Amino acid sequence: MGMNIKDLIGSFALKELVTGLSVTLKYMFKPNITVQYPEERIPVSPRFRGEHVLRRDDQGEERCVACKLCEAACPAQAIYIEIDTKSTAEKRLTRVYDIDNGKCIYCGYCQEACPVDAIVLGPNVEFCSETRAGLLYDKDKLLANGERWKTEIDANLKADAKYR
Amino acid sequence: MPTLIIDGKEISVKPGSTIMEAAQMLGVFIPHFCYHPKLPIDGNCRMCLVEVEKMPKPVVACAMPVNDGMVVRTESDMVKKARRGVMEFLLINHPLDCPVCDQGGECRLQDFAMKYGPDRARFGDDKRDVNNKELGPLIETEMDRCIHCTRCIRFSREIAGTEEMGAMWRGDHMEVGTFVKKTLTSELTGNLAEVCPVGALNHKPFHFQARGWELKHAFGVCNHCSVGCQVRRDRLENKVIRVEAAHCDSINETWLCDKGRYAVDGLTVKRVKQPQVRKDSSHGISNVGWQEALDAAAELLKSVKAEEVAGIAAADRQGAEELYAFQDFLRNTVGTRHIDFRVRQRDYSADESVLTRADLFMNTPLEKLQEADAILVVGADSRYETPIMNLRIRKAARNGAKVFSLGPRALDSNVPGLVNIVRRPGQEPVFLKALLAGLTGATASTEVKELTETLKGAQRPVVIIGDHAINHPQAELIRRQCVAVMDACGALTSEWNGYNRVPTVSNAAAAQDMGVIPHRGPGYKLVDNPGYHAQKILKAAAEGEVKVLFILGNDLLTEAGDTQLAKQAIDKAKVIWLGAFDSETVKQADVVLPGMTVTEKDATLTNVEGRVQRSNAAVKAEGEAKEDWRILRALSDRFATSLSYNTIDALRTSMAAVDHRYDLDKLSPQEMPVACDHSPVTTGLDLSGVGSSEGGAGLCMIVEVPFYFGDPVARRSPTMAKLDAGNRLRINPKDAQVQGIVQDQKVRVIQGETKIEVIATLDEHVPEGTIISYSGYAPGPSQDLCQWDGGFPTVSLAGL
Amino acid sequence: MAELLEFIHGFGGDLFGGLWPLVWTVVKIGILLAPVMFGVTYLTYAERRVIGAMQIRVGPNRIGIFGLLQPLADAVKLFFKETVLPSKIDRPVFLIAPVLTMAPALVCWAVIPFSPELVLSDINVGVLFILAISSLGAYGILMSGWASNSRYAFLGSMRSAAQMVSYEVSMGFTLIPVIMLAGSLNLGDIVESQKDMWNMIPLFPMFIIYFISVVAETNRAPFDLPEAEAELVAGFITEYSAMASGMFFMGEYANLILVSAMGSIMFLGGWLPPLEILGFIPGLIWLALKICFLLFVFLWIRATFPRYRYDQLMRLGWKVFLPFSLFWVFLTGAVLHLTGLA
Repeated sequence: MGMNIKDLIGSFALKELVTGLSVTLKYMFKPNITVQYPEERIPVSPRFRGEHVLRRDDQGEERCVACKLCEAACPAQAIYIEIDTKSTAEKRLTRVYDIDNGKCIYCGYCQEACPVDAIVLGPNVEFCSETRAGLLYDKDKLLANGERWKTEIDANLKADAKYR
Repeated sequence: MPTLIIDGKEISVKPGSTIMEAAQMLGVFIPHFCYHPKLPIDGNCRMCLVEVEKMPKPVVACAMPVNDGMVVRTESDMVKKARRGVMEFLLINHPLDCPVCDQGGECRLQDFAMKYGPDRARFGDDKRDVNNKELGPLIETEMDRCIHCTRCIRFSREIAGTEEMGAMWRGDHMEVGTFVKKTLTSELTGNLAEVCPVGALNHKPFHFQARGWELKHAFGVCNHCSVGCQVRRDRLENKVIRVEAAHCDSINETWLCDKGRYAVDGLTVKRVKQPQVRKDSSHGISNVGWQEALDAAAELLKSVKAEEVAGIAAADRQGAEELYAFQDFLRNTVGTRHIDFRVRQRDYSADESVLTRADLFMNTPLEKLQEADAILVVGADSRYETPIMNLRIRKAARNGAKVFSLGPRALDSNVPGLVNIVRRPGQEPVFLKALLAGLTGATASTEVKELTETLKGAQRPVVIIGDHAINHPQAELIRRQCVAVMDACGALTSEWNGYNRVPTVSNAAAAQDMGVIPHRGPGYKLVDNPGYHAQKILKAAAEGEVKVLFILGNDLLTEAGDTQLAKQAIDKAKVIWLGAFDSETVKQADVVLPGMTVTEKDATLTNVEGRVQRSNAAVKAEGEAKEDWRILRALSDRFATSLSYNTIDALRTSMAAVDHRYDLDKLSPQEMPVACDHSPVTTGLDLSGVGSSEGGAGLCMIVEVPFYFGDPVARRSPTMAKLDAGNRLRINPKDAQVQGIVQDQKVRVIQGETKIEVIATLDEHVPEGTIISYSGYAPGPSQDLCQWDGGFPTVSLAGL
Repeated sequence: MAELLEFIHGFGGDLFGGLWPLVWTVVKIGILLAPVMFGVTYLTYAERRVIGAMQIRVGPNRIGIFGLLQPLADAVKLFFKETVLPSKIDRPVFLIAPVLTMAPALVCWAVIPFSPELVLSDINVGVLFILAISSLGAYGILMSGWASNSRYAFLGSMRSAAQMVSYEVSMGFTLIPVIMLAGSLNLGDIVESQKDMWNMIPLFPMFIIYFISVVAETNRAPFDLPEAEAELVAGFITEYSAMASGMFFMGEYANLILVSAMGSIMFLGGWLPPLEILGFIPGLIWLALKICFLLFVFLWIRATFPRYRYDQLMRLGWKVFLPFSLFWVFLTGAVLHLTGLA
């Protein structure tokens, strides 16, 4: 038998069981790491990828120029864009900008691809919906989000700018 | 043959080739902007710098001729550094607006900046700011992006022959544009945007429509004229939003005319989407399901004797498959003999002689056309009838060929040194008789002297018979005379066959091959008992002899040679209409079956050289539309003899069985189908019947097909509408003065009982005594004034 | 105590007349089962808190202070959920099964002595009674698996039956040395026999084997193979919902408390205090503490060990525990015979 005496004795003395039990017992008296979510929150990184927003520039114009790079970059094909055919070279806009949050995997490639910092994944995570339709974000919703989270997003982008 | 080594690979090339050409043969890619294989070499962008051993500095590959024993390196450190430098210089002034640029994603500058350029700019000053140019409805400009490669300038100067683009100022101030603000007038302006390696010149109809990477491509064949250029149709979702030329050295090189490129937005306008049946005359026409419509059509066809049914096809909106199925259905399932597609032709006397494919189409391949040294164009406005073929004529002229045009008016041509021989309509045979006399006899009369001498001295003479001559009241005589002219020049040999008949209708060759003509079945087999040709069919229908007209895609009320006769025929006979485009003719029909356009189905198109090409479906048809041959197949099930093919492959096999040229499987996919592989031209036919040389009295009207309005797709296209001049009457200023007509005045044209109203344009190119009107404008098309079997109509004018 | 009982009997006899003995029995059952049911309820809470603590997290803490109302919330939830009856089940059997699982666990409490005089039914064969009744729980599980007409449930119940049968054998054998030492099958006598020394000390290996066997017997982790969710969804409970599945859980927890009580009585001296000087604390409290300790160990084990593989479980039962406990029976007998203590 490959078992030596020491192991045999250990086995009869339930050494492994006792070791295991002692580990769990030790941990029982350690402080909990649970974060009591609604009251307590963990700090959110400036790079956190939450709910999408579409930003406006300082003049209140939409930043998005309908370049469709986010649509091309999106691995989940959650973004659908139509260019506003009334666009001009000075002001090129989208007619439709839809994001299906049911498809989105929050990879942030759209934000990476965006040349004008228009689409940004904001800090918000609390945007559940009771219907699937509630997860389909259109341009108005995204722009409204941009207004709502403007301060936070501006601060986040500023904090992260030097690493880009 | 100089032999050189590029990147360690050895190659021997023709003397005089450049390093760039040698590298391309080897498959070594050298980045370039200004170099274009079909444009003259300029060598200004410096992107193609390569290192050549024993040369102290890098050299431009596109302009450097090869030498024996050269050792070229395209990826050495020196080359990389040079490219980096060039890219940095180019990017000094190029704006960083790729996200809003139409070229973004398909841009050479973008790609090369990514691959070869530096990632930081060191240039801190202001970028150059250039005003955009307004170049008309086809080209959108963003001149900040221009990198001064001069491709557009070279294209318009060398290829299009309209010296409209140019460079102003020098150095940093250089601006590319038209010198004075003007709209580009070339029929090839779309190519400017295509040759532009950056986003400075863009297609205006495509502007801000989509990004390049979203588009799905389908390679196909253009069906706007008989040249059959190869195109790439780009679709977004289910709409073709851009057409680009596909590279094809044998046909269109890399060019495409504006109609072929931009008319595509007409495809989705005013389409027949639903089967319709006129239940009884009081109720008008109503939408029904397919089964009901097919039942109604079958009932209509069975309610009369087989001989009382006649078919008229439109070759230019169908593939060879449909044309074959159409004649198969009418001849074998219905059992009628009356079938034709030549609705504008006036002279059908050729049907009585046994003509072959060689007599009816081109015998000089397009590639060879540029090698001709004397060209006689008979009744052809080749620049607007077949723009891409015209580029070959232009090339020939630039290589030293003398080009003569015999026709009713002086041509608005871009061919250098073109000699216009203007004859009153109907007098062409007189001139050709004189020319023949000059060529065969000892002396030539003065009017044909220059031409005779040129043709006699030519090694490779060419005659091109165009639309005017083909739809001429004496078309067959003119054709025979042209054959005789070439015969007299000795240019009907197998080495050089210079006889070319160029019908402008796309796919006319397929219609002839597939036997959509009364006297011949598919594969040029003569039928024992020929049926009626198009003119007779309409006459018989108007007189009640033909009771059911089966029309395949034709809009007879705007397109027929005599629209009044067509109207009488359609009013009298029951009409089954199968096709894609809604029109006045469709509104008169009793059963309407929605078909597809060539863009929507896999089709076989045969160009004027007799080159059989497959075109792939680019989009799906809207509504209930089906492939036309499938509809015919389903309809044939309601008869005793049904069509024998259920799949397109089976149909193509049947086609290949009657004409081996359609057996495309025998060819490799890479290989171009053979052009002009037909039997020799028939010579020695009777040349009598030439009339007197005196011109008639009064204003003689000829009807031309407008370039931007010539087919149903173009007629629907919003872009073409911007380019088209509208329903015009062109008249010599002297005639106009006599008639008291001024420019842009509304004019009533009167011929007997019939009147039409058009706007007059004074034009010196039109000879005195002739007026030119255009077909295709409904209601009241100018063909209303034409009697089919008469000569050219003599009309009177009244200013309004 | 006696006077109080006297008074109650008198009052009850006046109130109910001839029906009084029946009513008294029901009252006694109520008095006995109320704490058990309470224990079951709060054992679920304790389990979640204890395991949570061992996994350095919190556990339920939202409903009531420290989450103390969580079990009530769960109970309300279970009561108000729909009891789904799948279409292809054997309906009567399917409905009886949870009852049959829970009832034996409660019935056994009849013979558990809480203190020298506090026992519902002081019978001579208490140990046998408990062994007999608790084996009946296997029927409930077998029936549920059979009646569910589902592969998962069937496999789960088959495993459960085999597991219970296997471990009951070794569990029985671990109790024999205790009986041999006490010389009685009466649970009160067994407790009394431990006055000098708890059975845990001489029979420590038996105590361990007993404990491990009852873990397997009650289908608790790491021997919860009948409901191994990774393989069998939820084993025999797969097709049950709402209070029906709740009853299986209640049965399981009641069994847990029962075997803890048995363990306390057989090995830990029942109501006896660990030291004589602690005798002022009532025996009931001591028993409760011992039960609680054993229950804690159950939870502790669950938090510590991963699930056994089924063949290992069988090997352990038949090839390790059975021979070892048999050997210990002989050993105990031999020692008793040679020392003349019997």
